[in-house]
Amino acid sequence: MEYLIVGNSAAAVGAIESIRRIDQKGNLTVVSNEQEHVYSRPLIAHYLAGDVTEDRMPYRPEDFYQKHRVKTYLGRTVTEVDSLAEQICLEDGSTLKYDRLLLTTGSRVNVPPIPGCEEFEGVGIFQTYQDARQIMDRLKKGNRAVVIGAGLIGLRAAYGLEEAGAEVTLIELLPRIASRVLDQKSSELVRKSLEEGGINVITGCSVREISGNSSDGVTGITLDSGEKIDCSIVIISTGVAPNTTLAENTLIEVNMGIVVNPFFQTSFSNIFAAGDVAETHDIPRQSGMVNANWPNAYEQGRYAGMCMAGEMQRYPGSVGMNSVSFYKMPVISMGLFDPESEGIEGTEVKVRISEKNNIYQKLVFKDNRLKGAILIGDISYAGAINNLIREQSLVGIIKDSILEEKYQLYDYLRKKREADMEGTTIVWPETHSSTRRYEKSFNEESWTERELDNRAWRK
Amino acid sequence: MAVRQKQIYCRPTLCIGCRICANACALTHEGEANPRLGRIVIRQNLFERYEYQELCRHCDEPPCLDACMVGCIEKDEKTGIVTNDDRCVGCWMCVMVCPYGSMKRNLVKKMAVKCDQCKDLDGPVCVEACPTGALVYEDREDEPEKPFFTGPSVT
Amino acid sequence: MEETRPLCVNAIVNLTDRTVDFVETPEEIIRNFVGGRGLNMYYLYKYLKPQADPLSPDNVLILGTGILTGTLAPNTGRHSITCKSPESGIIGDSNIGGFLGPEMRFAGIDRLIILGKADRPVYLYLEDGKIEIRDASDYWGLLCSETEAKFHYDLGSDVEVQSIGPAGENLVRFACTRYGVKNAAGRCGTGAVWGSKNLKAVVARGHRGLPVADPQGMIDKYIELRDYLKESKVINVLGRVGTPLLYDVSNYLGAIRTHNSQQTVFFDTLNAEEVHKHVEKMIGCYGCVVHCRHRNTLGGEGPEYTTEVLLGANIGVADTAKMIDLNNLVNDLGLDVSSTGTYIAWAIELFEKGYLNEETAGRILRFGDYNLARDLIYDIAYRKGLGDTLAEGSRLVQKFGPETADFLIAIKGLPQSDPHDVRYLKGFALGIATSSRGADHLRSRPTLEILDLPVSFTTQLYGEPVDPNPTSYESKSTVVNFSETIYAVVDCMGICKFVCHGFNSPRNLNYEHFSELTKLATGLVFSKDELKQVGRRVIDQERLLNYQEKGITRKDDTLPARYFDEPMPSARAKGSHIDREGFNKMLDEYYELAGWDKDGMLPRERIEELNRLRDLTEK
Repeated sequence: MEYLIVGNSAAAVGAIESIRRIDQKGNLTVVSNEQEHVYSRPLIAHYLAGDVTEDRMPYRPEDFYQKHRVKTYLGRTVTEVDSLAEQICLEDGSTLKYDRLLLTTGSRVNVPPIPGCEEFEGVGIFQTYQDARQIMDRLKKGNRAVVIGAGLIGLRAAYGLEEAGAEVTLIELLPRIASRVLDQKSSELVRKSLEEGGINVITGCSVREISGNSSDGVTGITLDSGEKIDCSIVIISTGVAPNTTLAENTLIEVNMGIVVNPFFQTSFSNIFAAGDVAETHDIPRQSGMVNANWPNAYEQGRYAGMCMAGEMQRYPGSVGMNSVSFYKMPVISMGLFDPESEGIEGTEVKVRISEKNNIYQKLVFKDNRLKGAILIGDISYAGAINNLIREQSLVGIIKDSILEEKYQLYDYLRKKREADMEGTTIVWPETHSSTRRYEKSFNEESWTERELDNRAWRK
Repeated sequence: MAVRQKQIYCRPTLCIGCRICANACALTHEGEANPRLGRIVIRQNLFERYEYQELCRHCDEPPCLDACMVGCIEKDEKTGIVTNDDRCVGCWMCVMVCPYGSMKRNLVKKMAVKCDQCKDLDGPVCVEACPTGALVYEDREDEPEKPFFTGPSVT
Repeated sequence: MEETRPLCVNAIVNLTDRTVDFVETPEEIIRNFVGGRGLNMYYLYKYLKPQADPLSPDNVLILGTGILTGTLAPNTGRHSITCKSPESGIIGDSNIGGFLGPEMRFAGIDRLIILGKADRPVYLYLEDGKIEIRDASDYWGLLCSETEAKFHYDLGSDVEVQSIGPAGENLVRFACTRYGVKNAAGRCGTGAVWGSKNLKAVVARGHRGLPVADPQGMIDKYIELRDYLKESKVINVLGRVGTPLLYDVSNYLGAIRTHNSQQTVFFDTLNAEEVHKHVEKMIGCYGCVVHCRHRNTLGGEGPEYTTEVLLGANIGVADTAKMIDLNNLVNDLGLDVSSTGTYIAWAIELFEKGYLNEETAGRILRFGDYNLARDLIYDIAYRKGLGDTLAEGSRLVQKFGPETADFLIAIKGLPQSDPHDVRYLKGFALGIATSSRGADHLRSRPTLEILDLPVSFTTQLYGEPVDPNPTSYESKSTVVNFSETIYAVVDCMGICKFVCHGFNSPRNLNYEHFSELTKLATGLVFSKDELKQVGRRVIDQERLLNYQEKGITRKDDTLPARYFDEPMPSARAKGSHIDREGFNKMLDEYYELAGWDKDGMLPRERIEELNRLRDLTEK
């Protein structure tokens, strides 16, 4: 069996590990256009910030490929997938045969047509290790930087640069930052935190021109308003899209990303796709969606690998989620967190806000299920919320108890843990406690019983 | 193909919320006292009247392992114990995905920490330290032989 | 790397100027006063302006953790709150469990010394070595439970909150400060001092580790001590039913303070078994191996033996559920249970004796009236009607006439906390008469000598043979001296008295254990004798402070006239009363053992030594 994987990041590693767990014999080949040993893309911001040294960049140990007996073609670009001949073509014209092909080509940055953006040294994107290294080099020449586009990558880049000692200006076309991953209120909080940290944020403004010269590279930018900002580094992070180039001239169906079934098969049953390039089932929205982030990519790769090796396991679907932290302020957003901007009706929103203390929590419910959440500042039970979204359990009365961390939330979690860990709710021998157990399952009636029971005196 | 392993189980009705388990854990792993630094955390609210024990169950398919972007979480193939190492950069991805809340944040070191079942010691120190026998370390959920509490009687 | 944490970091918070200074306690002072109550007394002596009005900005409020607080040593969840008491006018000192003390230490602050007065409601926020004085106008006026819930909602559920309720805000002179549902620094009106300083709460959140000199040794020692403590019978029973276990015993003896000590026997409905029908679960404080707190099914925590009697028998409420309800109410309003129960009972007797009438009281007062008690408790907390009068506490003696003090069960202006009628146990009586903060059983609670222990054992324990007869006046001073010394030390350690040697049981943690634990925790070595001297020094310091503030001498070390003059009416203890002559003899012996003069004054050289320590400069 010839397994061929295009791409060399989270999804590819997930696939390699699960293929090797099932199939020890087949040949595994990885082709990637990057030279590096597998490393963690999100870490490049930390690398820039100086949190992480070079030796801590690899995602898996040095002997990862040897240990899993993977043949690697690093630094080679794939030009074409020939689905009829079951082979791929590399840029030098050579071909590689496959029985199972996995596309984990990730995403690419959409560079807007700003005059001057491709001419000068010091203008670049922020996606790969190589980009981060170039920026590090460039930092030696001057420490004024401009980041165009305040999406998550832009924020991370700005944060990394600021930590590295640069004077950073963040420019966003839309009226607020991180509009894809945060709602109005939370983006205000994040903006405040960034500004307190020393990053200059400009919103509702686009860049007219990037100027520079051939000897010094980039020297500055001009905004729409005519304002000029001097800088020696420009990072363009105006948004990413699935890198579906390989699928474009084939019969593989592409919507937003490469469309896959719950077994990660594309239109061809022996071509699989996973990670940021794949459009999978989105659990909270109940529709196809590209949920590009590291945990999903690895998980999808793991499932895809299993399916490729013949252990067909149905992928339950993905939840869009992100976790970043700026200046000690952790920010997490999950699922369908901003129903208004997506035009989804019939939702119920619960918010806990304490602006002085940088705490903001928002939960979105629909049809008695939790659909999405934003947690800032206090993220202690984020995992439980993530799980509620992922499993789409009926929330019933715990809907009102999550934000205030009431009894019902933890009682639910305890029962869930017992059911998961111990198979069943164990009846321990009689103890001093006279707590009554619920005889019924987790439906709403059984919750209210407890409510009425003993605690009425308070109100 | 899950590894059968001993797990730390909890008997919630016996938990008195004293945080000794977490403190003993912190002393063992960090050499300093503070239940917040422990790998096990007892979440307690006296007004809402609950004690919730955040235990790591060392999942067969750990979501934290999937989520870790540094690759510093590993599951030992033989023992089934899930551990993390100090390459952690504190992105809190694992915190976001753990349904049991067992990934802890050490805010001083800016690192996630998690239970390793005290693999270098004889047994988990939290279980050993628990004053009421609310924590047990066993292969299956055998019924405990001798509960610490017995029925109320003064005589 | 950050520098090593000093052994004791004190934060001096001046609410008037809104400044915070940090000072370290020099090692010499730590060796002399250790921590907790000891160091609190030291700093009170250092910072308190003599004769200051307790409710004025001149009063000093100190929250101090013990030297073992927060370490893994068993039951180290405690800290002491010290100030000049607005209720008694002498020292006010109250020990509280829960989780705030350890959290303060994890936040890098071992002691808060609060001076001045804020111009509007504030709360203190402690996090990782920083103290912020924050506006608390959103929290002012809330009940204790509401305050804490709101803090958890606003700041995150992992903060530890200690706050005052409406009683403290309204300067009720026996208001307490409260952690959680039930833990209270109840005695001496510390809550009123918080209220007078416009301080609503102290909120702490500490992510830092507390250094322990020998972590592995500490874990091993903890496990050894836990197993040792769990073998104790008393601790096992306390863990099952809590302090109500004592009700049955005292009632059988006929020594329950009933109807303001006019009677001494009450109904069986307050027995531990009855109380336990309303208990959902037993829980513990920080690092607790005893778990004596009841989570009751009526929505609160408790009751303790003290509450049972003072809000039950003493005011005549016999229904278990009603008594628990009063307990929950008092807890939520932030009132001291012992004082509230005593004053209500006293007011009822005042009514019976004609000092109050329907017009002046606004209602008919009688024993056994649950609704009346409930209303009065509300009125006291919000200072309405008769409640406003009663909120002045023992100062009302001046209003109603000095003869009313004869049936106010209070000493030095502080009502008796223990529900035990001390006319039978003479040692106990001497203990509450000489206690430094007023009539209080937590300063010395000598009960061991009557436990039928072998003579050889008690001789070894007290260093000399003692008379096991509870009604004799012989050698009781030895027993009191022994108890008050070890309780002073245990308060300095930050350990709960329930695991302290000599409190309920002749086993449990004694000086050797304290010495080992302090060595494991801090590296400081205290010998047994040194620790005893620390205990005596703390008691001396308190005596000196009391003399300085209110001229406390022998004349104040006495009992309510009722205990001398009225024999107990029923059951086995029938006929017991305290004989004045015997009592004076005990007092003489007590002073001699303490090294004080006949009038209960400290010798000059000890005062000079304390003054020398006071004048030592800090870093």
